[in-house]
Amino acid sequence: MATITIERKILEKNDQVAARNRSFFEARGIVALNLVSSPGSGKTSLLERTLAHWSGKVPLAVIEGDVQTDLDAQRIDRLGIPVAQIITNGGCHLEAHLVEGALQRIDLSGRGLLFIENVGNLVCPANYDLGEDAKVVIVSTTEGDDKPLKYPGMFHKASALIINKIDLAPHLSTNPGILRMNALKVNPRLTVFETSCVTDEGIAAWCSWIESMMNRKNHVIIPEISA
Amino acid sequence: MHELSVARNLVELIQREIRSGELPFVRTVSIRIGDLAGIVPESLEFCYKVVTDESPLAGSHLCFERIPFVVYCDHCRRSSHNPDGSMFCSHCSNAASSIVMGNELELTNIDVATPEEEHAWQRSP
Repeated sequence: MATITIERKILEKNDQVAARNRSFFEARGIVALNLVSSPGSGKTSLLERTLAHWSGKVPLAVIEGDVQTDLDAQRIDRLGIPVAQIITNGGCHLEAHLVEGALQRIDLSGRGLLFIENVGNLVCPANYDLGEDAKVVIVSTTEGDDKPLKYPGMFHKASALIINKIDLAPHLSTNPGILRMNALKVNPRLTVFETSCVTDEGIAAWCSWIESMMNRKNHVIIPEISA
Repeated sequence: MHELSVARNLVELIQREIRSGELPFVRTVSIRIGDLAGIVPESLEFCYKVVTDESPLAGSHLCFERIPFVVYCDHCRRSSHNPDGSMFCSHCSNAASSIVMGNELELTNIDVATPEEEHAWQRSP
């Protein structure tokens, strides 16, 4: 019996494509955010509110990942924003090559914002770099306050946490303070926001964080883009 | 259930790394998995069998090396083994500054039988 030493990352091929995507974004000054969460956390609603905030100020584009249907892409399309839907047909996460393919299908203007809405899943997407500038994990108050402790891998990889559906907190046993504390126990560097897509609470603060991400790429945000 | 995707990536990596002539003789594939890598070894083993079925790698099996989740603290300059994934130092309770290990998902080595061993193995009852 002979032993062949290899010592390579199993997902190195995904990482190589992710690096290509990252170079693509870098060359065009695009800020790419990978939105990850459980199913039903309100990712698409949050995205709609976020797009409404940025509409007319910077070029926008969206990549939607779902196991099935283009329902989310239809919602984004109704806002008049370029969108590409990835249907994974059972796949539980997006991979870098799927994003690379989707990038060919959307009108992606330079110096803009790209949102990648991952498949609803708090486990698998953590392993797959897509080339994004940051992962943003979204947890809604209806999911309880122990999610960060149950799924630490995802919270380690994220730069920001959004506690969504904060307007429902008074009606639930979930304690947003404990949720925040649990998340910071797993990742003390997380920036945390509390948002509601019903009252718009926290949307401005979350969008300010996005603006800081864009400033880091030397973006010039103009008050309104002429049509 | 991304273990299926990981198994496919693993097989592609093995095929890229070793000469195709040696593929029929692969016996053991050793991989390193961090406790926070989000991989269930039993699921990966199952998916690997499915992916390699009726391929030159059929009959080979996975051997796992588990890596604990360990963080390092700049304040007290010590490491903590935190099985719960916490990023706080278990010695001084400050926020740890870095992850030392625990996110690995790596192919480390492959045991390959010689043609003679393979021949003897196939002839054994």
